[in-house]
Amino acid sequence: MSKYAMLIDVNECIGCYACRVACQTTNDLPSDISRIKFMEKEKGTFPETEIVVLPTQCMHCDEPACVDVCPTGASFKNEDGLVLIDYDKCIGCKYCITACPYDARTFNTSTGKVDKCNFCAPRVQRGMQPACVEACVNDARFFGEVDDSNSPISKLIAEADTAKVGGTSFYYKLPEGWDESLPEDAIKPAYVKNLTERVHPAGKALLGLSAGAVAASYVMTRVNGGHEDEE
Amino acid sequence: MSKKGNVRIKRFNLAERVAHWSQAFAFVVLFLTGSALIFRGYGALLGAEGLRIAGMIHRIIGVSFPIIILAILLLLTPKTTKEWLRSVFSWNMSDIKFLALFPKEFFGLKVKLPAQGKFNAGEKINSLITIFGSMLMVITGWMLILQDRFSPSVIAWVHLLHASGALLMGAVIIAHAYLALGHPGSREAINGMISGTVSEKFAKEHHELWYNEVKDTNRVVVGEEVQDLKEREA
Ligand code: HEM
Repeated sequence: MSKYAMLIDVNECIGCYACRVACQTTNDLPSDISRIKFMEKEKGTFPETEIVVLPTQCMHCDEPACVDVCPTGASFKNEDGLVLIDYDKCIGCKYCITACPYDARTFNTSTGKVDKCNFCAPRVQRGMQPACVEACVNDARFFGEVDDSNSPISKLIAEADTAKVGGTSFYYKLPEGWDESLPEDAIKPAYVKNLTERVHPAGKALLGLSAGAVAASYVMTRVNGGHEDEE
Repeated sequence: MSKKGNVRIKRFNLAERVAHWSQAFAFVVLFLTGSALIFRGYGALLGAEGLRIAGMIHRIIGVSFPIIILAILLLLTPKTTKEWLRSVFSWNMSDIKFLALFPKEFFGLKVKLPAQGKFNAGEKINSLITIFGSMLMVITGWMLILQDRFSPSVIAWVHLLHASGALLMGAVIIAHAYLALGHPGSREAINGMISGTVSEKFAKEHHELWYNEVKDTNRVVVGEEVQDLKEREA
């Protein structure tokens, strides 16, 4: 569990993208890199339809798949439960991009490293709000500590119409009748399990088996005398 | 040294040998640079900068060597390449029998193996794994280089295949290198890949069907006709 959570009230989101711009400015991102993505969904029946925008970003999973596949430990979960990237360790292998169930990670071609939302950790550590929350023009975004049950975010989370993206630190308030397009609960992609729990151990066992057979043969052919080849 | 030992049988021409050692060099480098992403302790030893350099070397060798090796095999020695391919794809009962009995030979027990052609059944399997394994590694390797053009779910499979192929081929290489360098029964075979010839005794005992075919045409007598073998004998 994370110490922090974010909640987006989709009813209040007007799709102005101010959050994305604030994020890019605060985090010095090139304009083609966005840590916030927007899922657009048509709602209602024609002709009374409207476009609803669902912003998504790193959900700061409880058991992040990106951390599991990272070969260098660059992706990690800190003591506050934030999923962060240590840029000194990132080698840009992109395994985490493949593993992330939320498409939350982007490759930054100018740095050669992977980029994603960090809940503005440096700001939060100074007691500030993440840039996207501060910039939101219609107060659709909320952020705070969840272990304080009196915090505004805890109260919002407790409300009946709040949906949690299971296994993450992310919550949404969805428009009535909305039954699609909520990012799925954090289920680790089968691939992560297959790679780290099947292919890697099985492959290493195979290498060991081969080396073991060679060592055994080396000893046995010399003990048994074998047949000599000419020198 | 017996008289017989001086008669050697030509086994691989220069192009075949260069192709073989290019493949060997490329594989070892690719395995050492790639597996740092699988063996975390080894990766940590290299550190982030080391891993970035390893990734660069991996890409350069992975892109260039398959082209070089294919060019050598197809342009410089197409005839032997064709014979090799024909041989590794033709299988009969004696191959199966060879494989069933080979573990005994491997561990130094006395066993009479069925007569083999130029490539024995084990070498054929090694060849097949190398051919299909390399194709798999090149295709999946290119997909990893161009991964932005594929969906993450495709790349997820590509990672599984590239890693599986690497580890499987690594396991095969360990046994292959040992058979060529360390196993008393078969280590004479390494000379076929270095000087290009093997002793007559080895050819007869290990590849009898092939030996009977080529014993007149491929015969070289060391000390008279073949210059570079002199040094070995010394
Ligand atoms: C048969 C020889 C090869 C071996 C043993 C090998 C081994 C590996 C291993 C163990 C990995 C890390 C695990 C993984 O992602 O699956 C890897 C990654 C990779 N390989 Fe290979 N590989 C081989 C051939 C190739 C070739 C021919 C190419 C390119 C054409 C290639 C391109 C890559 C790339 C791009 C990566 C990702 C590495 C990174 O992002 O740092 N590999 N390889």
